[in-house]
Amino acid sequence: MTGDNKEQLDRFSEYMRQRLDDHQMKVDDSCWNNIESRLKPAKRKNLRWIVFSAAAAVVLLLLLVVPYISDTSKIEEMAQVTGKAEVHEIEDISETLNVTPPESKPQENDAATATPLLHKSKEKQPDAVSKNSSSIVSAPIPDIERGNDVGVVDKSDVTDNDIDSGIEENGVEKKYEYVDLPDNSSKIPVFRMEKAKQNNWELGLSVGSTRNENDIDSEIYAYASKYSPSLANGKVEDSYLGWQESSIAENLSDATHNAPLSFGITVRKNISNRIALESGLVYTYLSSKFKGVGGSRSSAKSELHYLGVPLNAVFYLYNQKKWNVYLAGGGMVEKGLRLKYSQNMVFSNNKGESTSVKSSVDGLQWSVNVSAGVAYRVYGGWNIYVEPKLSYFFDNNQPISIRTDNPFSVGLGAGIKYDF
Amino acid sequence: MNEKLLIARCKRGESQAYRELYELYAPAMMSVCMRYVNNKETAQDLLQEGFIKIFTKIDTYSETGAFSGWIRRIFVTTALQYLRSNDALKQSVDIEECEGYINDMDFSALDQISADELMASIAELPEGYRTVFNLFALEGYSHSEIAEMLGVKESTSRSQFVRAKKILQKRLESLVIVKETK
Repeated sequence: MTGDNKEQLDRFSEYMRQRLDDHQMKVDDSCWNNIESRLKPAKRKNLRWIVFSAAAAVVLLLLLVVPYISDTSKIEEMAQVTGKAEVHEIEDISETLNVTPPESKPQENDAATATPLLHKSKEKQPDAVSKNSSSIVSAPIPDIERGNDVGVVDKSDVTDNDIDSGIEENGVEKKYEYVDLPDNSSKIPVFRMEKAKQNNWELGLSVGSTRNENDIDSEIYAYASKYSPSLANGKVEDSYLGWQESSIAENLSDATHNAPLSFGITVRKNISNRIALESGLVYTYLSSKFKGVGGSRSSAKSELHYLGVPLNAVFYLYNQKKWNVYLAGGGMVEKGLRLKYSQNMVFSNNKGESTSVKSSVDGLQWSVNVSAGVAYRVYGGWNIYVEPKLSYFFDNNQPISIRTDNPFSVGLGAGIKYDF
Repeated sequence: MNEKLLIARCKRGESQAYRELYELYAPAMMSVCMRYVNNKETAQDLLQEGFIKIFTKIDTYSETGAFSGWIRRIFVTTALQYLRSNDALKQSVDIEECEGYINDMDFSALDQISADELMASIAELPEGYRTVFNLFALEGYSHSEIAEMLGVKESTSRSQFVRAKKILQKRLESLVIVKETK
């Protein structure tokens, strides 16, 4: 130690220091081997995380892609079946009616004639959408005996409201539409099946936090007087540069990390009914407290402010008008805005010394995450959602925080979203 | 500049850089550890422990102070943690009280004594005395700082240092006499 003592060294101590300052001793070769072997598990641990992350990414990709492919092929298959059914049914109807002047409108008695066949078509009615997300299928027939609407109705009797009042089923809205029979003899009502209106953009406000971690063995070496925090490669004011001259070291190894707090604004773009992309801006506040061991009353606190840009792929498992359930996965890059470090050293004579340092934070924090969310439409385009999240923060030489001590975190996010 | 480059490589996690850093500092840090624990095996354990801390926490080094000082501080702290955990600093030892300082010590005569012999003389001190002597005389901490680090009163640190110095001076004087009579 090269520091000057506040108390004058006597000649003997000075002499001993000079003689032993550069003293060296031979070290056994086995010492390095032991160190090396102790460092390797950490590397293997990192490798495990990489493998785990890759596996998670593959699983997520499969979750995203497989149902979509399956769904697409199903739709195509159904569309083919539906198309055939329609042609067949319409031909049947024309054969059964066997009349109908081209210009005549459908009459109620026609409906009576057509009823048995239309009932038949009801039994056969396919319930899927066509390849073009819009298909024409035979309408379910209302009960004639109750005097309600009949299957074949004069188009002029139907108001716009009647047309708009569709039935929603499985996220697909059915609307009445009137089509001519092949020989133009009459018109029949059919349901035109449309997907529920898909809002392409969502704007969200979110708040999130992760599980609090206590008593993590994180070591901060704090120094009395003129100490610059060895928290990271943060830039420190010149007034603290003399720390090595008169500092003492204390290992503040009792660390308590407070739960991080995140606030964000996100924009989600729905690419299809199944997939969306999400990005935005997320502010995160991290704070940690450190205490000395062995009854020391010294303490320190660090506060970190981050601003990040997430990019997530979202896959809807269930996407209805009111509810949607989704999986999301992606990453986030964050820039540390500010590091504030303050310490309070308490000496045995009960004298204290407080030091506070503010500095910028170099580098970027990268992370990957997967989450599962549930959203509920409360009113109009307003939704509330809750989203448990699993994140992994890479070692990017950032100041000590819950992320550096425990890079794998489980958190919960919630917020509101607006569809527009 | 080379040291900065080495630190940067270590921060990137280069194994070769770790090895180079170890070879650069291990002999001097072994000496530091030996001054505190006076047992080669224990000193090597502390050496390993200290380097593991350095390699895993090197990203917390702010590069604003001397790197050698930062490293040395970690080894001193590691040694103190070991001594605390073994209650070594609380052990009472009966020692022969030495009367008075040797104020007129002939320092040129002490030059006959090798650094290894000086180390051995320090090693013979009781652990509490040896720790205070190391921290005050060789590391440069003040008594108030030592008191804080060891959890003792400042007056205890002062008195232990005075006693350590007396014992050490007496032993070194004896050693000089032996050498001169040879």
